[in-house]
Amino acid sequence: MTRGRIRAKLRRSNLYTFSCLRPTAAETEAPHSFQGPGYSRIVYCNQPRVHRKKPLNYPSNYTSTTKYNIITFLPKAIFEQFRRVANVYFLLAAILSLTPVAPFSAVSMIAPLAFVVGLSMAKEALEDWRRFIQDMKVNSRKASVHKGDGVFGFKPWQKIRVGDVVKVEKDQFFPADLLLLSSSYEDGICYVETMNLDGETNLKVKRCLESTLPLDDDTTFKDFAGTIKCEDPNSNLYTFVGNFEYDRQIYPLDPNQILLRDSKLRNTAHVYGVVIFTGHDTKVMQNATKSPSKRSKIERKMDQIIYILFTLLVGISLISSIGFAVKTKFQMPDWWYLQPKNTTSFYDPERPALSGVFHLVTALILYGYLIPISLYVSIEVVKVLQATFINQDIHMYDEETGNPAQARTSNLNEELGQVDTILSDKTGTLTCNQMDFLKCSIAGTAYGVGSSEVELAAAKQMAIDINEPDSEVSNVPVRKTSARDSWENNGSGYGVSEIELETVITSKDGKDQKPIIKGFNFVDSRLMDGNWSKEPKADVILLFFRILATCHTAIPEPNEETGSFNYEAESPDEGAFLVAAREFGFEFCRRTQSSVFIRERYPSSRQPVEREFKILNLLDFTSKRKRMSVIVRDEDGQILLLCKGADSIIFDRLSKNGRMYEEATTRHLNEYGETGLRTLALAYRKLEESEYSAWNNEFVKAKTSIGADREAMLERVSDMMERDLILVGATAVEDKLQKGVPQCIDKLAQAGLKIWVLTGDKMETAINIGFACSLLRQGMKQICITTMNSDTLTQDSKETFWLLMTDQTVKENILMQITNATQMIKLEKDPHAAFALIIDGKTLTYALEDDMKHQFLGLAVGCASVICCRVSPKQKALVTRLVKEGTGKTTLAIGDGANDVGMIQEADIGVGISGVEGMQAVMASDFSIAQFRFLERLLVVHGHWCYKRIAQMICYFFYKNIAFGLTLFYFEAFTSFSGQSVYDDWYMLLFNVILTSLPVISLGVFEQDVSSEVCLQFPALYQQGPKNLFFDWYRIFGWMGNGLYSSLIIFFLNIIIFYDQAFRSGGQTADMSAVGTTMFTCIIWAVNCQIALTMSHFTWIQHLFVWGSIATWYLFLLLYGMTSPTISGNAYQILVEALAPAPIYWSATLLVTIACNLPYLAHISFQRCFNPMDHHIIQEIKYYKKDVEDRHMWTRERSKARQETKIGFTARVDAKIRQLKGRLQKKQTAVMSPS
Amino acid sequence: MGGEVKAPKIGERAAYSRFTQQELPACKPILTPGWVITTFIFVGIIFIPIGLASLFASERVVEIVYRYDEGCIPTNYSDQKLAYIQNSTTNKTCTRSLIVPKQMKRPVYVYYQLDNFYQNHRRYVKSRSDKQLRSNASEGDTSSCDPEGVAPDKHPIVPCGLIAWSLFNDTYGFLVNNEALEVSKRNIAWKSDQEHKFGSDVYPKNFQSGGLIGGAKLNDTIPLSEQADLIVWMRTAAFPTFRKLYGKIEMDLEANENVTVVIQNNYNTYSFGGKKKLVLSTTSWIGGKNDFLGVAYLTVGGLCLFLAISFILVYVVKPRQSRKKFGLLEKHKDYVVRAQAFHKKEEAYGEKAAFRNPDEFYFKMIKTRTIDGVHKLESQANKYTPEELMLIKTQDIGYVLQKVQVKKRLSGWIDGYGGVWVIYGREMALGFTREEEDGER
Repeated sequence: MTRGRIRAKLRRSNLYTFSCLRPTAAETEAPHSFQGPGYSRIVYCNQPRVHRKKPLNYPSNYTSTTKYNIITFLPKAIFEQFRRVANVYFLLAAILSLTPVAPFSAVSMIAPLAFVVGLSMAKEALEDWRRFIQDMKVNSRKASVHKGDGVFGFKPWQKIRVGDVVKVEKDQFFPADLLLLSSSYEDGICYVETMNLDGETNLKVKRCLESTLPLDDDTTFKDFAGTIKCEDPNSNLYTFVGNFEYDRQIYPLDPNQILLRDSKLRNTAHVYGVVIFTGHDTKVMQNATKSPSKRSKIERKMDQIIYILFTLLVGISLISSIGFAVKTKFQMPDWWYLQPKNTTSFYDPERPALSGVFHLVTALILYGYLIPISLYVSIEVVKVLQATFINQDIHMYDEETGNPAQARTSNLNEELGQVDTILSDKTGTLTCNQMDFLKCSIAGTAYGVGSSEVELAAAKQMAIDINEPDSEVSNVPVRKTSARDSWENNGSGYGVSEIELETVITSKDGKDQKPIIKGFNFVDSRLMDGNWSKEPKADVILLFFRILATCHTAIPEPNEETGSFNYEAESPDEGAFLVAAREFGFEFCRRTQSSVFIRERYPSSRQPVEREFKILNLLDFTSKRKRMSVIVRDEDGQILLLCKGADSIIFDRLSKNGRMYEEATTRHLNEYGETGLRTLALAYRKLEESEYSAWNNEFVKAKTSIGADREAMLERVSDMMERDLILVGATAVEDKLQKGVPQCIDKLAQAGLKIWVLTGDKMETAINIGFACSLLRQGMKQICITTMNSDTLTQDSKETFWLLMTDQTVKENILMQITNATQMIKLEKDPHAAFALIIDGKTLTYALEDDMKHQFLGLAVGCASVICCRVSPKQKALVTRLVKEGTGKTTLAIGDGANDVGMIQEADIGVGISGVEGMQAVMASDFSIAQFRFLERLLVVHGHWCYKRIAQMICYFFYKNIAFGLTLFYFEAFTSFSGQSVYDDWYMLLFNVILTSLPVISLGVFEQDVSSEVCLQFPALYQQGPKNLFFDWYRIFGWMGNGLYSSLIIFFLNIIIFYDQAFRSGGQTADMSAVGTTMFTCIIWAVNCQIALTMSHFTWIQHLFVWGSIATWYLFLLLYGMTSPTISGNAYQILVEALAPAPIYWSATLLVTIACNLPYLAHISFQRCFNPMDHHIIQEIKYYKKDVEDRHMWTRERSKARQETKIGFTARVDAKIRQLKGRLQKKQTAVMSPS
Repeated sequence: MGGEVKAPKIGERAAYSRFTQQELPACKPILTPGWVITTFIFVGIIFIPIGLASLFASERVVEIVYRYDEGCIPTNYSDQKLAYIQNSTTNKTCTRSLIVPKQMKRPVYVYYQLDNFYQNHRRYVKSRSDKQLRSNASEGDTSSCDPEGVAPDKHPIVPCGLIAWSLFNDTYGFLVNNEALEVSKRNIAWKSDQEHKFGSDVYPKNFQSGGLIGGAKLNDTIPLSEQADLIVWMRTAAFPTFRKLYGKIEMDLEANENVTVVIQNNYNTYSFGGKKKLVLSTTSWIGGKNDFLGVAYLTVGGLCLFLAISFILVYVVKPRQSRKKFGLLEKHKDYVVRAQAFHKKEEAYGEKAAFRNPDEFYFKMIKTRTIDGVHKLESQANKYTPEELMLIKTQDIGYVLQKVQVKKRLSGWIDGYGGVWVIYGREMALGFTREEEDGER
């Protein structure tokens, strides 16, 4: 959120002016006067030694992002581990196990805890080590530092001190926050790329002070000295206050002279700077915020289950301690064999209450097996492995950019399977943010015959919409499915392949002749190859091209390969214009401070002519002004104002004789707008020398003025100039849809997901994209909620209008619109009616206020698609929060830019597109993918799998620990609640750690109910996640009940079988260790068979783990029995000597295992047969190979496996069919019924 | 955020492997009706014979259980059993005779059974020292044996601990036809116990020498490894009711034979009301008499068969195939929609049918209207709603488009920058001016 605000500020700040005038104001401006705290920093330039001593001993430039260091690692990491309540419990148990209270030996308590905690800590250490390595890489980067006597030498970054003079070369990062002293340019400017700070790829200009300009050589720094007094380190990227004392003069500093760490020097050979802030004092480090840690719903629910288990634990502990106290008081005095008179306080019949209290502690430790100690660590392992699989998925690997999908946190894997609402950014997410110059209108003539993708998509869909029902009137369902089918199998290429919705088709036919040029998709031979000169209004066209080539703020970068230029432009639109100009023969090739050079190629001459245009002034583009202008003097000395801007703004400012083409251009602009293109109008004005100089004086005055009204003054002065323009034409640039977006949206809609689009674009563009993505369609009722349209009013009436429109009235108005719309939705009878809500940012500010947001949400939830336009980054986050908190469902936000960061952090899951617009969104996100279309696989395949895996895994964990833990309790009741356990300590130790952990991990990592293709073919399967079918309380308690049942069966069958009689033909009776070992064998078999029943997907890994676990148990028993009796005690040779030769041991194992799993087996087989869930049926269809044999059935089932949805392409076809059917019916009834 | 924001790792395209793509070959067992029924029947068929065999084996075991704790108290002590048992001077011998109900093949095992004796009490179980039992060298290792660790003179007790201290000390002698039966103590203890856990160089020391005498005394001259009774006793039982092997009679006992038992009734179970029983039993492959195992097997096996049968029945009565017509994934809500539509139609048709006069119908009833008493054919023109008109228009465009595409597909190639197919007028907002599908192939 903060980033968004920062970015907004950055746009508005006046950082990109190429005016050749230096602001002379700097000299006259008074130095900042500092009072109060926060401005205490003093930096002695070129005297880093001074900064080694107090009080100027600022931190070194060493940065560290690690959580721990060698000394703090142990205490801190251990503290982190024991913040988990379960771990604290186990720690207490381990400590108490050292006292006689403990029912187990100390090692059996401490070892698993040490294992589990050790594993987690090892993971922490590994992660921290990686961070450390990365830090080291950064810290040991070399920078050129002044070493004295005008000699510069290389030093690692971490050695750089405050006050050092640093020389930074082109394309290097700044090692610290620097004060710019001079650059390789004469006028001391340099270009900076701040992508790492705010995610913007365009360059920014920094300028040094006039007085330090001469310091442009290594040797000049020999005697350089100065003092900087400035603010203390803070996190504000766009402010800086300070004074620079140099040559006994004091100059004020502002952010324009500050180079921030982690930004990059571009297009400038080198710069010199003085280090002001180092290491953690730098702005970027101060800005480093921790992204909020998110936890998945399942995990939160798991905590609740753990609390339930804790309650259970305390409950049975209380029962057992009360039982113990009672037994001790009333019966123990008779048990002479315990020597009750000669006892400690743990078993004192005289003081049963005290003994009871001691016993409570014992019992709490004893029944600790109810709480699965290894649960957290197993889940962590599983999630990391799942995340690895997500990272490795080649279907989510983008060949073009080389970016794989990345699970940046593994916490939220299962949350991916429960998403209900997707909030998507538009630019860069749905669209490529790659602008293609597609059409233009010059002098009232439209050029460009290419068609936009929106057009193509719409035309194609129209073709299907109409093609299809034409012939399907007779047998609706069959045709419907077949048409859809072929659409889904796109690429299969039979029959109706022209209705494929492939959106990346650019001009393929053109491709044969020339390579595709990024940013240029213009097809019209009238303008290309110099043919424009034959057009009737060639002079206007020439002007048009010149405006394209000069009116911008871009910087050319020679491209060695092609010999032409690439452009570093502020916006992709601008880049597209320059590319277009280049293609038309007006190549922008060089920019100096005062000039722009354009290589013009005319059809008449072979050699291009390089022309210089002196840039006199540059009037910036701001979102408020919606236009930018340059004032240039061409080689003939003619002064021209060239302007480009939003059509409405330009048309307002046309002179009387400049409206020649207005009508035709407006018509063209409307056409372009309809087809989803972004439009700008171009205009110019000729200026007289005197007129200009008069104006320029005023402009300079405004520019050098200080104070709050400077901006307003500048705007007013600019406004004076940008009048009486002459319209030249208009451009139309296409914002390309990303590959596969409509299909992906269709699938996601079929999976039952709701998609909201939040965009900063204007309403018309957003609606166009909505249509292209099938989020909107004809026949959908669009509900537009806006504040009263004030654009239509004239300037004068606007003011009175705003006087009348108080906040209150606006709000009431919006509220009324919302209630009306809600009412309308409620009253709608047609079950197929779909509504789309379109709301703009301004309205949203009101709608998001506390008293209205619930109405707004109510309305939005009732609509099939929601599009919010012109929203600020903060509003994006607010909307996300509203949806998240208002509906209580899981939200996913997807975006690519710094302006989406707030939304991404706010949503339950943030997905960043690792695209072109910097890394901010990706850095803040939980998952990053390269293209929007990968979202389908991420959610529908990986989300679905991970959700089921984790849910099943947790349920099973609780099952097995209840099944095991409760047998301890039952047995204890038979030992007069004395706290004796029937199992050997080692068995219990191994139970969670080795004998049952690997199968459950393999369940969590490899389980697949259906394969990935089937997941994609049956999107409705995804709904099992949002409906939470696998982790609802019913299922959790079912599993717990199953655990209870198993524990009862295991215990009671065993004790009856081994009660008192001999268990072998040798006449021996079973002692405690024999009974315990048999019982434990039964448990191992039962829980491992249970997990085998739970799994539906067995690779060799699962087989190995499940059956291997059972084998490990026997192996362990064998080995344990072979150790010295002082270690193994009564378990010495138990398997070999006592149990294995006894048939009853094996038959008891078989009986108990089957009896434990019988109810579950019966349950699942009856459920599958008589009340199957979706995935059961799909599995069977696959199993019986119905998809191959019975195509009819296959397609029918596939169409059933869709959620009712009102958006997406499929819904569009359905709607069309309904409409035609309705018409048919009407006709029939008209025929039948008498009038 | 790091010191430097991490640049996107231009990841290597993950090498394709079936493992990383989660496409390992896997068997995906599905509980189809066939499998379910087979499994249940199979389990049933396995379990029932096992159950029968167990029952049969259990039937063959002959067991004589004789409780003597009450009966062996002389009548004059019947009110003060405790005094009787604790008095070392009273005569504890007690002679009883037992009838052998069936022939008992040798070996006949002799057990004593104690009730309500918590040998599994934690205090009791822990009170032993395995190290001490094992070797002479660890004689002083009595820390775990409290309160029977050391004698009052601080010398360690061997064997120490409550378990050893409370060693059972009733003895049994058997006479058949006035001939003494030898009760062998060989192999009544586990071999591993004798060889590895109870040292052959460990001799009882200071045992039962303290103020409190628990149970039996041990012969100081015999090493622990030879003290079979102690070894058996030291294997603590799992439940408060337990039997322990006393010895073996290596002789067949014939049916209806009269066995005279001479019991030395020394052990005090009277203070906690525990019963003492003498058990003579033969064994089979499942051990002693144990009907439960067989019954349990039969029950589970029967249950499986029952499940199999009920599954078959339900499957026949309500097969899933009935849903096939509408699709297996059909949901209840789909059904509701269909049912509603059906009923609505039913109603509508019913109504129409009710009002219809079968005799009075001819086409002009619906095609004409009377104007000034004259029947005139109604004009069919301009009867469309604006929406319908729109549709018809767009349909026409669609038709044109379709034709264009068909034609294009036929023509196969297209010239230059996608031949400009000017096929529409201004009504159509969306131009279709370029060829792309064909260019793709």
